[in-house]
Amino acid sequence: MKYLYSTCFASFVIEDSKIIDKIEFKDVLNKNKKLEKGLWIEQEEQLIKKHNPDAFIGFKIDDKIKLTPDLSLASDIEDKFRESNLKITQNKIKKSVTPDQLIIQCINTIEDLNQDTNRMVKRLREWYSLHDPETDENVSDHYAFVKTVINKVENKGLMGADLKEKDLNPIFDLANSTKSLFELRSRLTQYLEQSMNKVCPNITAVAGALIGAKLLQTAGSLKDMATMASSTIQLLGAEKALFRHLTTGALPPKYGYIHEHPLISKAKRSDHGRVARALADKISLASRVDYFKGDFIGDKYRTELEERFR
Amino acid sequence: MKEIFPGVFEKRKGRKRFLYTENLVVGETVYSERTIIRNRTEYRQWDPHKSKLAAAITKGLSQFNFGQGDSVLYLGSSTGTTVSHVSDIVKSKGRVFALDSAPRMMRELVFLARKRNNIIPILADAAHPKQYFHKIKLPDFLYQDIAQKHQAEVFLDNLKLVKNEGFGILCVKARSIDITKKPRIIFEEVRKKLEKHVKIVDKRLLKPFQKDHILFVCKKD
Repeated sequence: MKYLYSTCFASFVIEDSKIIDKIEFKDVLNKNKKLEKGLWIEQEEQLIKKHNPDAFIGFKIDDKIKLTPDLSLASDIEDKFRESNLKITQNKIKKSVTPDQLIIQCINTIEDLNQDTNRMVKRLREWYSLHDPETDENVSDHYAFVKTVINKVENKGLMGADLKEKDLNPIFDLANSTKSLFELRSRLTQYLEQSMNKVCPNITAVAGALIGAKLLQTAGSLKDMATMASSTIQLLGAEKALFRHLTTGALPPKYGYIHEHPLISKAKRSDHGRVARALADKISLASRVDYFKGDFIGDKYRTELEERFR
Repeated sequence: MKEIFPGVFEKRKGRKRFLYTENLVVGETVYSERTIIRNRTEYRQWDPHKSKLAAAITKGLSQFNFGQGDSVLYLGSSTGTTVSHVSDIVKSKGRVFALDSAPRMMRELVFLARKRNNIIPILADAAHPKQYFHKIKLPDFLYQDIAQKHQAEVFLDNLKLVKNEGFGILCVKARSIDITKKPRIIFEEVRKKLEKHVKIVDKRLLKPFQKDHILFVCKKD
Protein backbone atom coordinates (compact mmCIF):
# COMPACT_ATOMS: atom_id res chain seq x y z
CA MET A 1 0.00 0.00 0.00
CA LYS A 2 1.21 3.49 -0.88
CA TYR A 3 0.05 6.35 1.32
CA LEU A 4 0.07 10.07 0.88
CA TYR A 5 0.80 11.89 4.14
CA SER A 6 1.11 15.62 4.70
CA THR A 7 2.66 17.24 7.74
CA CYS A 8 2.93 20.97 8.37
CA PHE A 9 6.37 21.12 6.67
CA ALA A 10 6.32 18.53 3.90
CA SER A 11 4.24 16.01 1.95
CA PHE A 12 5.38 12.39 1.92
CA VAL A 13 4.67 9.23 -0.02
CA ILE A 14 5.02 6.20 2.21
CA GLU A 15 5.32 2.53 1.33
CA ASP A 16 5.83 -0.18 3.96
CA SER A 17 6.47 2.42 6.67
CA LYS A 18 9.26 3.95 4.63
CA ILE A 19 9.37 7.34 2.95
CA ILE A 20 9.86 6.84 -0.78
CA ASP A 21 9.34 10.45 -1.87
CA LYS A 22 8.86 13.84 -0.28
CA ILE A 23 8.40 17.49 -1.18
CA GLU A 24 9.24 20.05 1.47
CA PHE A 25 7.31 23.33 1.63
CA LYS A 26 9.07 26.61 1.14
CA ASP A 27 6.21 28.74 2.44
CA VAL A 28 5.15 26.85 5.57
CA LEU A 29 2.69 29.50 6.81
CA ASN A 30 0.57 29.64 3.66
CA LYS A 31 0.54 25.89 3.07
CA ASN A 32 -0.52 25.40 6.63
CA LYS A 33 -3.57 27.66 6.25
CA LYS A 34 -4.78 25.43 3.41
CA LEU A 35 -4.02 22.19 5.26
CA GLU A 36 -5.96 23.39 8.31
CA LYS A 37 -9.06 23.80 6.17
CA GLY A 38 -8.58 20.36 4.63
CA LEU A 39 -7.81 21.76 1.16
CA TRP A 40 -5.50 20.14 -1.36
CA ILE A 41 -2.14 21.76 -1.97
CA GLU A 42 -0.02 21.66 -5.15
CA GLN A 43 2.70 19.51 -3.61
CA GLU A 44 0.14 16.82 -2.82
CA GLU A 45 -1.22 16.94 -6.36
CA GLN A 46 2.29 16.57 -7.78
CA LEU A 47 2.93 13.50 -5.62
CA ILE A 48 -0.41 11.98 -6.58
CA LYS A 49 0.41 12.33 -10.27
CA LYS A 50 3.86 10.86 -9.82
CA HIS A 51 3.10 7.91 -7.50
CA ASN A 52 -0.65 7.35 -7.68
CA PRO A 53 -0.98 6.38 -3.97
CA ASP A 54 -3.76 4.07 -2.78
CA ALA A 55 -4.84 6.03 0.30
CA PHE A 56 -4.35 9.14 2.40
CA ILE A 57 -3.46 9.62 5.97
CA GLY A 58 -5.43 12.42 7.51
CA PHE A 59 -8.78 14.11 7.32
CA LYS A 60 -9.08 15.16 3.68
CA ILE A 61 -11.77 13.15 1.96
CA ASP A 62 -14.29 12.58 4.69
CA ASP A 63 -14.13 13.51 8.33
CA LYS A 64 -13.02 10.03 9.31
CA ILE A 65 -9.42 9.96 10.29
CA LYS A 66 -6.84 7.50 9.08
CA LEU A 67 -3.86 7.07 11.31
CA THR A 68 -0.28 7.93 10.61
CA PRO A 69 1.83 4.81 10.31
CA ASP A 70 4.40 4.37 13.01
CA LEU A 71 7.18 5.93 11.02
CA SER A 72 10.61 5.96 12.44
CA LEU A 73 11.49 9.34 11.00
CA ALA A 74 15.06 10.49 10.78
CA SER A 75 15.82 12.90 13.59
CA ASP A 76 16.37 15.84 11.27
CA ILE A 77 12.82 15.34 9.97
CA GLU A 78 11.48 15.12 13.51
CA ASP A 79 13.15 18.42 14.35
CA LYS A 80 11.19 19.98 11.50
CA PHE A 81 7.97 19.40 13.48
CA ARG A 82 9.27 21.66 16.20
CA GLU A 83 10.82 24.23 13.92
CA SER A 84 7.77 24.73 11.71
CA ASN A 85 5.28 24.59 14.58
CA LEU A 86 7.20 27.27 16.44
CA LYS A 87 7.07 29.39 13.32
CA ILE A 88 3.35 28.80 12.77
CA THR A 89 2.41 29.36 16.41
CA GLN A 90 4.42 32.54 16.79
CA ASN A 91 2.84 33.91 13.63
CA LYS A 92 -0.62 32.95 14.87
CA ILE A 93 -0.05 34.69 18.18
CA LYS A 94 1.04 37.79 16.28
CA LYS A 95 -2.08 37.67 14.10
CA SER A 96 -4.37 37.10 17.08
CA VAL A 97 -4.03 40.67 18.37
CA THR A 98 -7.21 42.60 17.59
CA PRO A 99 -8.27 46.23 18.22
CA ASP A 100 -10.74 45.15 20.90
CA GLN A 101 -7.83 43.81 22.98
CA LEU A 102 -6.36 47.32 23.06
CA ILE A 103 -9.70 48.62 24.31
CA ILE A 104 -9.85 45.94 27.01
CA GLN A 105 -6.33 46.79 28.25
CA CYS A 106 -7.31 50.45 28.30
CA ILE A 107 -10.50 49.97 30.33
CA ASN A 108 -8.60 47.72 32.75
CA THR A 109 -6.05 50.46 33.28
CA ILE A 110 -8.76 53.07 33.81
CA GLU A 111 -10.39 50.87 36.46
CA ASP A 112 -7.05 50.38 38.19
CA LEU A 113 -6.40 54.12 38.10
CA ASN A 114 -9.81 54.78 39.67
CA GLN A 115 -8.87 52.68 42.66
CA ASP A 116 -5.33 54.04 42.90
CA THR A 117 -6.31 57.71 42.73
CA ASN A 118 -9.04 57.14 45.29
CA ARG A 119 -6.64 55.63 47.78
CA MET A 120 -4.00 58.28 47.16
CA VAL A 121 -6.41 61.20 47.59
CA LYS A 122 -7.79 59.71 50.79
CA ARG A 123 -4.27 59.51 52.18
CA LEU A 124 -3.46 63.01 50.92
CA ARG A 125 -6.54 64.40 52.65
CA GLU A 126 -5.49 62.87 55.98
CA TRP A 127 -1.90 63.99 55.67
CA TYR A 128 -2.55 67.51 54.43
CA SER A 129 -5.30 68.06 57.02
CA LEU A 130 -2.69 68.03 59.78
CA HIS A 131 -1.48 71.28 58.30
CA ASP A 132 -4.74 72.67 56.93
CA PRO A 133 -8.04 70.94 57.85
CA GLU A 134 -10.26 73.59 56.26
CA THR A 135 -9.56 72.65 52.61
CA ASP A 136 -10.52 69.02 53.21
CA GLU A 137 -13.80 70.18 54.74
CA ASN A 138 -14.63 72.68 51.96
CA VAL A 139 -13.55 70.85 48.77
CA SER A 140 -15.33 67.53 48.35
CA ASP A 141 -14.34 66.71 44.76
CA HIS A 142 -11.12 64.69 44.73
CA TYR A 143 -9.50 66.22 41.66
CA ALA A 144 -10.41 69.76 42.76
CA PHE A 145 -8.90 69.02 46.19
CA VAL A 146 -5.59 67.94 44.72
CA LYS A 147 -5.45 71.06 42.54
CA THR A 148 -6.25 73.31 45.53
CA VAL A 149 -3.49 71.72 47.58
CA ILE A 150 -0.95 72.39 44.85
CA ASN A 151 -1.99 76.00 44.27
CA LYS A 152 -2.60 76.77 47.96
CA VAL A 153 -1.69 80.21 49.24
CA GLU A 154 -0.89 80.45 52.95
CA ASN A 155 -4.28 80.48 54.70
CA LYS A 156 -4.64 77.52 57.01
CA GLY A 157 -7.23 78.40 59.64
CA LEU A 158 -7.07 77.91 63.38
CA MET A 159 -6.75 74.12 63.75
CA GLY A 160 -3.80 73.47 61.42
CA ALA A 161 -0.34 72.79 62.80
CA ASP A 162 2.54 75.00 61.74
CA LEU A 163 4.60 72.65 59.62
CA LYS A 164 8.02 73.52 58.28
CA GLU A 165 8.74 73.51 54.56
CA LYS A 166 10.83 70.38 55.00
CA ASP A 167 7.77 68.50 56.30
CA LEU A 168 5.39 70.02 53.75
CA ASN A 169 7.42 69.08 50.68
CA PRO A 170 6.60 65.34 50.72
CA ILE A 171 2.90 66.23 50.90
CA PHE A 172 3.16 68.41 47.80
CA ASP A 173 5.17 65.67 46.13
CA LEU A 174 2.30 63.24 46.68
CA ALA A 175 -0.21 65.83 45.49
CA ASN A 176 1.70 66.35 42.25
CA SER A 177 1.95 62.62 41.53
CA THR A 178 -1.76 62.17 42.23
CA LYS A 179 -2.60 65.04 39.90
CA SER A 180 -0.62 63.45 37.08
CA LEU A 181 -2.53 60.18 37.61
CA PHE A 182 -5.81 62.06 37.30
CA GLU A 183 -4.56 63.61 34.08
CA LEU A 184 -3.45 60.22 32.78
CA ARG A 185 -6.89 58.84 33.48
CA SER A 186 -8.63 61.58 31.54
CA ARG A 187 -6.25 61.11 28.60
CA LEU A 188 -6.94 57.37 28.63
CA THR A 189 -10.69 57.95 28.79
CA GLN A 190 -10.40 60.20 25.75
CA TYR A 191 -8.42 57.53 23.90
CA LEU A 192 -10.98 54.91 24.94
CA GLU A 193 -13.85 56.95 23.55
CA GLN A 194 -12.02 57.48 20.27
CA SER A 195 -11.18 53.82 19.77
CA MET A 196 -14.62 52.63 20.89
CA ASN A 197 -16.15 54.92 18.27
CA LYS A 198 -13.83 53.50 15.66
CA VAL A 199 -13.85 49.78 16.57
CA CYS A 200 -17.45 49.35 17.72
CA PRO A 201 -19.45 52.50 16.83
CA ASN A 202 -22.82 50.79 17.27
CA ILE A 203 -22.17 49.49 20.78
CA THR A 204 -20.87 52.93 21.73
CA ALA A 205 -23.96 54.65 20.35
CA VAL A 206 -26.33 52.40 22.30
CA ALA A 207 -24.44 51.72 25.53
CA GLY A 208 -21.87 54.51 25.74
CA ALA A 209 -18.10 54.13 25.59
CA LEU A 210 -17.44 53.19 29.22
CA ILE A 211 -20.24 50.65 29.67
CA GLY A 212 -19.56 49.25 26.20
CA ALA A 213 -15.90 48.78 27.08
CA LYS A 214 -16.75 47.08 30.36
CA LEU A 215 -19.10 44.67 28.58
CA LEU A 216 -16.38 43.95 26.05
CA GLN A 217 -13.89 43.33 28.83
CA THR A 218 -16.12 40.81 30.61
CA ALA A 219 -17.19 39.12 27.38
CA GLY A 220 -13.50 38.69 26.45
CA SER A 221 -13.61 39.91 22.87
CA LEU A 222 -15.91 41.48 20.30
CA LYS A 223 -16.30 38.07 18.69
CA ASP A 224 -17.40 36.46 21.95
CA MET A 225 -19.78 39.32 22.63
CA ALA A 226 -21.33 39.07 19.17
CA THR A 227 -22.06 35.38 19.73
CA MET A 228 -23.68 35.98 23.11
CA ALA A 229 -27.42 35.92 23.67
CA SER A 230 -28.87 39.24 24.78
CA SER A 231 -29.83 37.68 28.12
CA THR A 232 -26.15 36.93 28.72
CA ILE A 233 -25.17 40.51 27.88
CA GLN A 234 -27.88 41.73 30.25
CA LEU A 235 -26.16 39.89 33.10
CA LEU A 236 -22.50 40.59 32.27
CA GLY A 237 -20.99 41.97 35.46
CA ALA A 238 -23.53 40.16 37.67
CA GLU A 239 -21.82 36.76 37.55
CA LYS A 240 -21.69 36.38 41.29
CA ALA A 241 -25.41 36.93 41.70
CA LEU A 242 -26.19 34.73 38.69
CA PHE A 243 -24.23 31.73 39.96
CA ARG A 244 -25.66 32.23 43.43
CA HIS A 245 -29.08 32.01 41.78
CA LEU A 246 -28.18 28.87 39.81
CA THR A 247 -26.57 27.01 42.69
CA THR A 248 -28.68 28.03 45.68
CA GLY A 249 -31.91 29.16 44.04
CA ALA A 250 -31.70 32.76 45.29
CA LEU A 251 -33.47 35.50 43.31
CA PRO A 252 -31.95 36.02 39.85
CA PRO A 253 -30.21 39.32 39.03
CA LYS A 254 -31.85 41.69 36.55
CA TYR A 255 -28.81 43.52 35.23
CA GLY A 256 -25.02 43.73 35.36
CA TYR A 257 -22.90 46.58 34.07
CA ILE A 258 -25.77 48.01 32.02
CA HIS A 259 -27.33 49.15 35.31
CA GLU A 260 -25.08 52.21 35.08
CA HIS A 261 -26.74 53.22 31.81
CA PRO A 262 -28.76 56.51 32.06
CA LEU A 263 -31.87 54.83 30.59
CA ILE A 264 -32.00 52.37 33.49
CA SER A 265 -31.02 54.73 36.26
CA LYS A 266 -33.65 57.26 35.09
CA ALA A 267 -36.43 54.67 34.82
CA LYS A 268 -38.91 53.90 37.58
CA ARG A 269 -37.76 51.21 40.00
CA SER A 270 -40.49 48.84 38.87
CA ASP A 271 -39.42 49.32 35.23
CA HIS A 272 -35.70 48.56 35.75
CA GLY A 273 -35.96 44.92 34.69
CA ARG A 274 -37.95 45.72 31.57
CA VAL A 275 -35.58 48.48 30.44
CA ALA A 276 -32.55 46.26 31.10
CA ARG A 277 -34.00 43.55 28.88
CA ALA A 278 -34.73 45.94 26.01
CA LEU A 279 -31.35 47.64 26.33
CA ALA A 280 -29.44 44.36 26.38
CA ASP A 281 -31.37 43.29 23.30
CA LYS A 282 -30.26 46.40 21.38
CA ILE A 283 -26.67 46.10 22.61
CA SER A 284 -26.45 42.51 21.42
CA LEU A 285 -27.80 43.53 18.01
CA ALA A 286 -25.29 46.40 17.90
CA SER A 287 -22.38 44.11 18.79
CA ARG A 288 -23.26 41.81 15.90
CA VAL A 289 -23.40 44.73 13.49
CA ASP A 290 -19.99 45.84 14.77
CA TYR A 291 -18.41 42.40 14.55
CA PHE A 292 -19.63 41.72 11.02
CA LYS A 293 -18.74 45.28 9.96
CA GLY A 294 -22.26 46.42 9.04
CA ASP A 295 -23.45 49.98 8.46
CA PHE A 296 -23.91 52.40 11.33
CA ILE A 297 -27.33 51.86 12.86
CA GLY A 298 -26.62 52.48 16.56
CA ASP A 299 -28.33 55.89 16.85
CA LYS A 300 -31.55 54.40 15.45
CA TYR A 301 -31.51 51.74 18.19
CA ARG A 302 -30.83 54.41 20.78
CA THR A 303 -33.75 56.64 19.70
CA GLU A 304 -36.07 53.62 19.58
CA LEU A 305 -35.21 52.86 23.19
CA GLU A 306 -35.51 56.46 24.30
CA GLU A 307 -38.95 56.81 22.72
CA ARG A 308 -40.15 53.58 24.27
CA PHE A 309 -39.07 54.47 27.79
CA ARG A 310 -39.58 58.22 27.84
CA MET B 1 14.88 9.34 46.68
CA LYS B 2 12.96 6.54 45.02
CA GLU B 3 11.86 6.27 41.40
CA ILE B 4 8.16 5.38 41.63
CA PHE B 5 7.38 5.72 37.91
CA PRO B 6 9.80 6.20 35.00
CA GLY B 7 11.15 9.71 35.47
CA VAL B 8 9.09 10.44 38.60
CA PHE B 9 10.87 10.46 41.95
CA GLU B 10 9.54 10.47 45.47
CA LYS B 11 11.04 11.62 48.72
CA ARG B 12 9.38 10.84 52.03
CA LYS B 13 9.84 13.04 55.04
CA GLY B 14 7.82 11.72 57.96
CA ARG B 15 4.24 11.43 56.73
CA LYS B 16 4.80 13.91 53.92
CA ARG B 17 5.53 12.87 50.34
CA PHE B 18 7.30 15.07 47.84
CA LEU B 19 7.39 14.41 44.10
CA TYR B 20 10.25 15.33 41.81
CA THR B 21 11.25 15.11 38.17
CA GLU B 22 14.74 15.32 36.81
CA ASN B 23 15.35 18.80 35.43
CA LEU B 24 15.89 18.76 31.67
CA VAL B 25 17.40 22.24 31.60
CA VAL B 26 19.75 22.33 34.56
CA GLY B 27 19.72 25.57 36.51
CA GLU B 28 16.41 26.85 35.12
CA THR B 29 13.11 26.71 36.96
CA VAL B 30 9.75 27.20 35.26
CA TYR B 31 7.34 28.55 37.88
CA SER B 32 9.83 29.28 40.69
CA GLU B 33 9.45 25.78 42.10
CA ARG B 34 11.99 24.30 44.49
CA THR B 35 14.91 22.29 43.23
CA ILE B 36 17.19 19.83 45.00
CA ILE B 37 20.44 18.23 43.95
CA ARG B 38 21.11 14.53 44.60
CA ASN B 39 24.12 12.67 43.16
CA ARG B 40 24.96 15.60 40.88
CA THR B 41 21.47 15.53 39.32
CA GLU B 42 19.06 18.40 39.69
CA TYR B 43 15.43 17.61 40.47
CA ARG B 44 12.44 19.96 40.34
CA GLN B 45 9.73 19.64 42.94
CA TRP B 46 6.30 18.77 41.52
CA ASP B 47 3.53 20.46 43.48
CA PRO B 48 0.21 18.51 43.60
CA HIS B 49 -1.64 21.75 44.33
CA LYS B 50 -0.51 23.21 41.02
CA SER B 51 -0.56 20.16 38.78
CA LYS B 52 -3.40 17.66 38.47
CA LEU B 53 -1.13 14.87 37.30
CA ALA B 54 1.01 15.30 40.41
CA ALA B 55 -2.16 15.32 42.51
CA ALA B 56 -3.23 12.00 40.98
CA ILE B 57 0.18 10.44 41.66
CA THR B 58 0.05 11.64 45.25
CA LYS B 59 -3.41 10.09 45.54
CA GLY B 60 -1.89 6.75 44.53
CA LEU B 61 -2.23 6.42 40.76
CA SER B 62 -1.64 2.73 39.99
CA GLN B 63 0.00 3.09 36.59
CA PHE B 64 1.86 5.59 34.53
CA ASN B 65 1.90 4.77 30.88
CA PHE B 66 4.48 6.98 29.31
CA GLY B 67 8.15 7.53 29.82
CA GLN B 68 11.45 8.37 28.22
CA GLY B 69 11.35 8.91 24.46
CA ASP B 70 7.56 8.89 24.09
CA SER B 71 5.56 11.34 22.05
CA VAL B 72 2.78 12.91 24.13
CA LEU B 73 -0.19 14.88 22.87
CA TYR B 74 -1.02 17.36 25.62
CA LEU B 75 -4.36 19.20 25.29
CA GLY B 76 -4.93 22.27 27.42
CA SER B 77 -1.33 23.11 28.17
CA SER B 78 -2.00 26.59 29.56
CA THR B 79 1.26 28.26 30.56
CA GLY B 80 3.09 24.97 30.88
CA THR B 81 3.32 24.05 34.55
CA THR B 82 2.49 20.37 34.09
CA VAL B 83 3.90 20.41 30.55
CA SER B 84 7.35 21.18 31.92
CA HIS B 85 7.25 18.09 34.15
CA VAL B 86 5.97 15.90 31.31
CA SER B 87 8.85 17.28 29.28
CA ASP B 88 11.22 16.25 32.10
CA ILE B 89 9.77 12.73 32.04
CA VAL B 90 9.96 12.09 28.29
CA LYS B 91 13.49 13.59 28.22
CA SER B 92 15.21 15.07 25.19
CA LYS B 93 14.35 12.19 22.84
CA GLY B 94 10.62 12.44 23.56
CA ARG B 95 8.17 15.01 22.24
CA VAL B 96 5.40 16.95 23.95
CA PHE B 97 2.91 18.40 21.49
CA ALA B 98 1.32 21.06 23.68
CA LEU B 99 -2.00 22.47 22.50
CA ASP B 100 -3.93 25.43 23.80
CA SER B 101 -6.54 27.65 22.20
CA ALA B 102 -5.71 30.87 24.09
CA PRO B 103 -3.01 33.06 22.49
CA ARG B 104 -2.26 34.66 25.86
CA MET B 105 -1.34 31.29 27.41
CA MET B 106 0.45 30.17 24.29
CA ARG B 107 2.73 33.19 24.53
CA GLU B 108 4.15 31.89 27.81
CA LEU B 109 4.39 28.39 26.41
CA VAL B 110 6.46 29.58 23.44
CA PHE B 111 9.00 31.03 25.87
CA LEU B 112 9.10 27.67 27.65
CA ALA B 113 9.43 25.82 24.35
CA ARG B 114 12.42 27.94 23.36
CA LYS B 115 14.24 26.70 26.47
CA ARG B 116 13.08 23.09 26.25
CA ASN B 117 13.79 21.37 22.97
CA ASN B 118 11.17 18.65 23.35
CA ILE B 119 8.13 20.95 23.66
CA ILE B 120 6.23 21.80 20.50
CA PRO B 121 3.69 24.61 20.99
CA ILE B 122 0.53 24.51 18.87
CA LEU B 123 -2.13 27.19 18.96
CA ALA B 124 -5.32 25.30 18.10
CA ASP B 125 -8.69 24.26 19.45
CA ALA B 126 -8.63 20.73 20.85
CA ALA B 127 -12.21 20.19 19.69
CA HIS B 128 -11.09 20.23 16.03
CA PRO B 129 -8.42 17.55 15.46
CA LYS B 130 -8.73 18.23 11.72
CA GLN B 131 -7.01 21.58 12.18
CA TYR B 132 -3.90 20.25 13.87
CA PHE B 133 -3.60 16.65 12.75
CA HIS B 134 -0.82 17.47 10.30
CA LYS B 135 1.13 19.33 12.98
CA ILE B 136 1.69 16.34 15.26
CA LYS B 137 3.59 13.09 15.08
CA LEU B 138 1.70 9.90 15.95
CA PRO B 139 1.33 10.20 19.75
CA ASP B 140 2.01 7.33 22.16
CA PHE B 141 0.01 9.01 24.88
CA LEU B 142 -2.77 11.56 25.29
CA TYR B 143 -3.19 13.90 28.25
CA GLN B 144 -6.20 16.17 28.36
CA ASP B 145 -7.03 18.89 30.84
CA ILE B 146 -9.39 21.38 29.25
CA ALA B 147 -12.21 23.29 30.91
CA GLN B 148 -14.83 22.69 28.25
CA LYS B 149 -18.38 21.49 28.42
CA HIS B 150 -17.78 18.58 26.04
CA GLN B 151 -14.56 17.34 27.64
CA ALA B 152 -15.41 13.66 27.32
CA GLU B 153 -16.34 13.86 23.63
CA VAL B 154 -13.21 15.85 22.81
CA PHE B 155 -11.13 13.25 24.64
CA LEU B 156 -12.65 10.35 22.70
CA ASP B 157 -12.13 12.22 19.41
CA ASN B 158 -8.50 12.85 20.19
CA LEU B 159 -7.85 9.34 21.42
CA LYS B 160 -8.41 8.27 17.80
CA LEU B 161 -5.18 10.08 16.92
CA VAL B 162 -3.19 8.01 19.41
CA LYS B 163 -1.48 4.82 18.28
CA ASN B 164 -3.21 1.49 18.81
CA GLU B 165 -3.25 0.23 22.39
CA GLY B 166 -2.07 3.64 23.53
CA PHE B 167 -3.16 5.22 26.78
CA GLY B 168 -4.85 8.48 27.63
CA ILE B 169 -5.45 10.50 30.76
CA LEU B 170 -8.54 12.67 31.07
CA CYS B 171 -8.95 15.30 33.80
CA VAL B 172 -12.62 16.03 34.28
CA LYS B 173 -13.59 19.35 35.75
CA ALA B 174 -17.18 18.93 36.91
CA ARG B 175 -17.70 22.67 37.27
CA SER B 176 -17.29 23.34 33.56
CA ILE B 177 -19.67 20.57 32.50
CA ASP B 178 -22.62 21.68 34.63
CA ILE B 179 -22.43 23.74 37.78
CA THR B 180 -25.95 22.92 38.88
CA LYS B 181 -25.41 19.15 39.12
CA LYS B 182 -23.54 17.32 41.84
CA PRO B 183 -19.95 16.47 40.75
CA ARG B 184 -20.48 12.81 41.71
CA ILE B 185 -23.32 12.48 39.19
CA ILE B 186 -21.28 14.15 36.43
CA PHE B 187 -18.31 11.83 37.06
CA GLU B 188 -20.64 8.85 36.74
CA GLU B 189 -22.03 10.16 33.44
CA VAL B 190 -18.53 10.72 32.06
CA ARG B 191 -17.48 7.23 33.15
CA LYS B 192 -20.41 5.68 31.29
CA LYS B 193 -19.63 7.71 28.17
CA LEU B 194 -15.98 6.64 28.21
CA GLU B 195 -16.71 2.98 28.88
CA LYS B 196 -18.68 2.66 25.65
CA HIS B 197 -15.49 3.27 23.66
CA VAL B 198 -12.43 2.64 25.83
CA LYS B 199 -11.30 0.64 28.82
CA ILE B 200 -10.90 2.61 32.05
CA VAL B 201 -7.91 1.23 33.89
CA ASP B 202 -7.77 3.66 36.81
CA LYS B 203 -9.52 6.68 38.25
CA ARG B 204 -8.62 9.06 41.06
CA LEU B 205 -10.54 11.84 42.75
CA LEU B 206 -8.21 14.79 43.12
CA LYS B 207 -9.59 15.91 46.47
CA PRO B 208 -8.15 17.76 48.46
CA PHE B 209 -5.71 19.20 45.89
CA GLN B 210 -8.31 20.17 43.30
CA LYS B 211 -11.97 20.83 43.94
CA ASP B 212 -14.52 18.73 41.99
CA HIS B 213 -11.99 17.08 39.72
CA ILE B 214 -11.50 13.46 38.74
CA LEU B 215 -8.80 11.85 36.63
CA PHE B 216 -9.42 8.83 34.38
CA VAL B 217 -6.71 6.66 32.87
CA CYS B 218 -8.01 4.98 29.72
CA LYS B 219 -6.66 2.35 27.37
CA LYS B 220 -7.47 2.41 23.70
CA ASP B 221 -8.72 -0.92 22.35
